[in-house]
Amino acid sequence: MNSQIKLSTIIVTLVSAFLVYASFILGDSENYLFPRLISATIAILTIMLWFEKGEADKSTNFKDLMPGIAIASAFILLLKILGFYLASMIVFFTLVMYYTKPTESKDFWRVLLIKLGVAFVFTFALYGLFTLLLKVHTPEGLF
Amino acid sequence: MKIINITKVALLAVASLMLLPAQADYPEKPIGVMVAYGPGGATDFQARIATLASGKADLIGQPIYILNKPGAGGRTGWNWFASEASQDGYMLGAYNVPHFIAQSIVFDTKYNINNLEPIGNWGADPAVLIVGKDSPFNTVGELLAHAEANPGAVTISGAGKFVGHHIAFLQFAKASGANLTYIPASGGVDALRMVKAGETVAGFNNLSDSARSASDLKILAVADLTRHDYLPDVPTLMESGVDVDDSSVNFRGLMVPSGTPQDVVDYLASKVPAMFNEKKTQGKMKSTNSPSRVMSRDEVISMWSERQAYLTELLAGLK
Amino acid sequence: MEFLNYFDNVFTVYHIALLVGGTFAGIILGALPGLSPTMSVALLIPFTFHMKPESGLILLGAMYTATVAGGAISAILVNVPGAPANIATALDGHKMAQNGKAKNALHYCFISSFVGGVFGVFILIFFTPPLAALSLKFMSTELFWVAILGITIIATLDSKSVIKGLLSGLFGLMLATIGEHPTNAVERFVFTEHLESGVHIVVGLIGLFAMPQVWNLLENFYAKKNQVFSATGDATLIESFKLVFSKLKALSIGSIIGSIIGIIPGAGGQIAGIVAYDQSKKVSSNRENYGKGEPEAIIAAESANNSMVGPSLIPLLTLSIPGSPTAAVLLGGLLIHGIFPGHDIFTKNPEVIWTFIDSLIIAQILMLVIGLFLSRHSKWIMKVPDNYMAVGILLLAVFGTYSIQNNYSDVLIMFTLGTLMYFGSKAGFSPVPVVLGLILGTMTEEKFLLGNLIGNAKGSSFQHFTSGTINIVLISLCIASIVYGVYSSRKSKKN
Repeated sequence: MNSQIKLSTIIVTLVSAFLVYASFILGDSENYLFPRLISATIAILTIMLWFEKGEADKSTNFKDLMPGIAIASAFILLLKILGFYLASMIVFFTLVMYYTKPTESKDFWRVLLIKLGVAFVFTFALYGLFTLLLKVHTPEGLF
Repeated sequence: MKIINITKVALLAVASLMLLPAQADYPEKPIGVMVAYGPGGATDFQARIATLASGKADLIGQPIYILNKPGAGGRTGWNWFASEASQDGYMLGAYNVPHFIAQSIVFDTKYNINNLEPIGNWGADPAVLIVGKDSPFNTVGELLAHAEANPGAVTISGAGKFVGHHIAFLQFAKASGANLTYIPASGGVDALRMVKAGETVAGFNNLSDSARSASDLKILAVADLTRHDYLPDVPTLMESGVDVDDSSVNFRGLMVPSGTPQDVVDYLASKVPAMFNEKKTQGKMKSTNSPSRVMSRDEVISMWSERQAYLTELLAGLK
Repeated sequence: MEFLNYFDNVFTVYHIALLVGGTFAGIILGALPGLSPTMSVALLIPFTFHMKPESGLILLGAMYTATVAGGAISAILVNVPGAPANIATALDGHKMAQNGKAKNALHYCFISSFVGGVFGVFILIFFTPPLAALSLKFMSTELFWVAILGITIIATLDSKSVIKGLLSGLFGLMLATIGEHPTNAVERFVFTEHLESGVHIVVGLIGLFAMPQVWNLLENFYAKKNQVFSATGDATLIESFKLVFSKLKALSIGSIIGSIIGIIPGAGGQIAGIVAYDQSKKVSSNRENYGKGEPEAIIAAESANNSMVGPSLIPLLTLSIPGSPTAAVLLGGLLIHGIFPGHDIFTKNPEVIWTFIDSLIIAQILMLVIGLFLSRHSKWIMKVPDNYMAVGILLLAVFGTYSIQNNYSDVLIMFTLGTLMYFGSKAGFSPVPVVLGLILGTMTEEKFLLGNLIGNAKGSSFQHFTSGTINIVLISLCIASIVYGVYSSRKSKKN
């Protein structure tokens, strides 16, 4: 068993332990019959998982992934404050600016302008689709 | 210095604009109506029909759009409405009495009738007692006689717990003294299916939906004070000898969150009943089999508090 | 042959324009995550408000038909199914796209959707009365066994490890218990107010499929040249038609299973694709290639999806009992226009209903033509650079999620669940059983509790669940499915 399988198995074990705890301790027997059945089965399977010889996990390239998760998380939290459309434009622009391939054009201002333009057009398309066409009312936020 | 002066003037202008009573020319933009159920459901499409005429100049004068916030049997939408909806009169909500009052009594909700202000009522859909078309029972009396001989064996479906159907069931069981079993389905459509398929012995369901499916059903009684126009031959439960009043009738109407300026509330209260009564709207209500009952703000206020008091008593000890 | 008399109502300029517009928009909307058939039809209903009943229904029907097929486009091209119905399509469709055969996969998808769809509409035209009676026979206990039958295929669906497959499925079942108790209305596992309305199936679907795709694109951004594939396949239309019609077994399994599932009331429609996928895998001679880009898998899944559409209207039109979640929304669309479902609907409103049904056939044809036309241009999506693709999927996922219930909490749930799933998939867990668990969880629990209540009132709950022809058939199928699953996993271990 390599260390990553161990880690993921430990996480699964912890999650299932919590589920078993939550359904047996927090709930009454009438309403929690199903969660109890499921969580008990999950617990048994987790024990079996400890003894299963599986393939190695895929490794994670956190260096490239984490900035993306950070930007996207910030976006999700800012959605309601800034309003959906403004936040979308900002996150679009930030993500495509941060993730730039070395092969892209070296002309910084040109790239910036293009990306800003695409971010604007994409956001506007979202506005057209959701607000104008489908009449979905997103939170307005500041603007 | 000049620039600072201009800034000052601009700031003052903005500040005075904000101080001006915003409702002076209310309404100046489209108004939303929050519906705590998904699109296509009865509350949703009745809300759309009832607010059709809002754009007319002598009525509200602005179009109304619907905002669906379904979830947790309506609690998600109503909780949001009481705690987060804007209090400037640009977000109204649709209520379902007795359901939303019953939920606020039984559960720990963010809303209750004290932090909401009714505007007007557009519809009233009583619960009816139904059995399948092949059922051996033709009257309430026959059904109750069977229940007496077989305690617990009479199953009655309804659209879930704490909705009008459930209230009607509780009243029916209490008044008749019979031992009946309530089957809380996941919605009115499924509850109706159970009766049509003969899965349950009987059911409480909406008068409008049952009247539409009359060829698959026998409608035994109406849980209201008077007979209904749609079903003139069907007796009330009281006529059938069971003392059940109109507490389970499903009233639908509009409300605003408390904190909405009084003149906005007054404006809406004066215009909304006329909007519901508009000729085309009433025609559309009729052609879609949606029972209409227009009530003013004052009538709804007293109806709400009556229900609140009665349901608190009925649901005590039930959860 | 009464239905033949109403085709001229469909062929008016206005109605054909509605059909073309509705089909085109439906395919595009269906391809966007979150705008599932149910959502799209729901959003469209207010638009039909001012139309004549038959015009409104034609538009809704075209939308229903096209969104079901459109959901396969994103499933194939970016591995994000547009709706729960398209999960099975993603399994092999995306593999085909990765192998440089996106266009072929899209061709198979639209052709088999067309075949299944037309089959389903003909079932609706010719077999409505007997099937409506059959549909009424599916009560709580039968529906419970249908759900269990779905659960029995979870373990072997898309996982190398049976234990991990089962764990993923159970995790999905557990997610389904969050929120309101199905019969008692009390709240369970609502640790924060964001969980109040539980995990909506489509919210879960978007999170579990779209977010991992975003993270995957960003994580490997610098490592690979461009993740999306250079070639999109060289299929000609004739070759694609020939191939689809040579896979008669998959095509007929899909169409028949889809039709059967369509008439079963409730959440059934969403699992048509996956059940057909599983069954065709069991009888296929290319079993080993399932999950690696097997055309038969796409054909079975997509023909099932679309053949479900027609039959799901049978209980809806005659009994006002919807055969799928989308049909449930369509019920509102009917009522708004004063069309009341019932046995007499064909005699009371023949004009409206037959025009509507005829338009469904035309919608299938248009769906095929427009779909095949769009397949030719799939390469444009393939050329989008990874960074734009990632943020595009992210934004569409957020907007799609929000529009389902106008609820910000859903966005948080979608994001969290998807991020967890991404790391889970690294450890060998698959999102497919999780979604299936999420779909079947509420159905299983609710039908069990209701059946139990009714059974107890009748005397014996156990007897209630195990008597009746359909129950016995379903129980046998469940046992057969489990036995087969164990047998085949033993066999594959030996090899």
